[in-house]
Amino acid sequence: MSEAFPDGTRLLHIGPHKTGTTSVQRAFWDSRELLPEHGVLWAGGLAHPMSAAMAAAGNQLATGEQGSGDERWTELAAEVRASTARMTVVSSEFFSDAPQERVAQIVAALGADQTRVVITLRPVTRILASQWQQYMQNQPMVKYIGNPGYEGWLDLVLNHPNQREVSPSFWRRHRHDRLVEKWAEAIGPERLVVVVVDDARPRDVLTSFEQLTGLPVGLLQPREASANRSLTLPEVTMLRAFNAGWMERQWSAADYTRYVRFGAVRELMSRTPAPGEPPIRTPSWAVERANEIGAEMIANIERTGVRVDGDLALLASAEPRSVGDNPAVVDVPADVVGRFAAGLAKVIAETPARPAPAGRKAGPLETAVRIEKMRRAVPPGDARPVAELSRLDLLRAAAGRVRRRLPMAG
Amino acid sequence: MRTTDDLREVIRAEFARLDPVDPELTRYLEERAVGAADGLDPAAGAAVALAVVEGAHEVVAATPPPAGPTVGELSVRRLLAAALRPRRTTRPGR
Repeated sequence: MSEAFPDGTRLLHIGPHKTGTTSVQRAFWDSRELLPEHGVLWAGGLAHPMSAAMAAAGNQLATGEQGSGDERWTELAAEVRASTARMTVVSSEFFSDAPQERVAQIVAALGADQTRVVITLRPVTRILASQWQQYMQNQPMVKYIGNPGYEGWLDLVLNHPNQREVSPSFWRRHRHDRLVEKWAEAIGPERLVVVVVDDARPRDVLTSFEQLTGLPVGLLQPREASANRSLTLPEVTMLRAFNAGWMERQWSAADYTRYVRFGAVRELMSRTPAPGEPPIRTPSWAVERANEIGAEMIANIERTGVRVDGDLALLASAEPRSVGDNPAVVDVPADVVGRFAAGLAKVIAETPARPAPAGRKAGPLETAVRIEKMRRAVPPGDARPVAELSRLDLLRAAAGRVRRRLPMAG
Repeated sequence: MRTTDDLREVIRAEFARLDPVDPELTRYLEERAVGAADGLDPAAGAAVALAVVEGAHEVVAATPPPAGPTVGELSVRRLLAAALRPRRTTRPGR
């Protein structure tokens, strides 16, 4: 049982990625109306204040205008500082991308005296496949030189951890001992709690948060997990082929972010994979290597003296859901192709007939679709260009407009 | 080829699930997807989706550039001002 943080705490949950963050954020968000009666404020006004956290860590989305994330972060930090709630909670895995100097700034912005940090950790063996397919959902934006498949990526990440050509963010996020050391140094080990996520007991992570924040156990409810499932092997293989085509055509990162990452991929995830559809399997050599690294991480985390909620030994002993070799040839089920293509058409067709809102950077395709739709939205009878009409036609149009406004004669 | 015929059917079924906010554009993109269907290896699957994005690029590329304000966009006062402004009509034959 976790002891609750003291009243007035500003709880900063920094992930990292793939450690049950979405589940925590959705559970808090779904209960946001019940939280105030227990003295808890979910800060940020969103299920996940992603762009604010990215800006705090020194990053930004491809669809964000320069500086728009900074504004969100400034607002979020101000909301937290102004909060009089017994417990104020901020959660985003993107805080874990912050370099050392940014960590101190984040803590200072929230109020160093009252901030306490929670880091959720999950065995690296359980993160590998999930993180790789996530990178593939954002491939045009991440550093991924040479476009290796999963096995090649595992070799680079696990056997050449200092290489910078492919996924340099992986160990920044998932060298969990260094992450804990970095934040403990900024805030003090007594103000940091590590929560170990046990996939065999998925409810436990919510219980830990309930106990840390003094909420009644059972108030936070897990949401249906399928909406945030990982892609299957056929899905990710097709997506990689699509990404190669996208990059070959030099289409924009902002359009990819809107139409693919946050559009068609989500549509694809809404399908239910057939029972026999192969998952991404992690080869046994990679499991062994990841567990060796996990053992080093356990020793280093124990040395920091931070509080640990859960079984730290899991970080060196867990197996991924699917172990083994992936087939060399992958056939893509027809409904994967159909759902992804229809998903793309859906999100493109849903582009609104108005300019992109302030703070959002639209890609060239999105901008052109918005313009095309605005043009079509003009009523056909009035769509004649003024420059192409004669003086007489213009006078007739004006007169017609005036006539329509006059009250009908008796 | 049976696989491709089946794939086309599935693509049509997936598009039929949509609640299109822009039926004209959606129908056009559906035809592009169906037209690109050619097998179920990953590259062939990707080609269907790429055809949808290419189709969207074609639609917007075919949009004529705006020819200045339209009648509907101007107030009566501005329509009158446009009519009375010294100008050369672009209408052919006048």
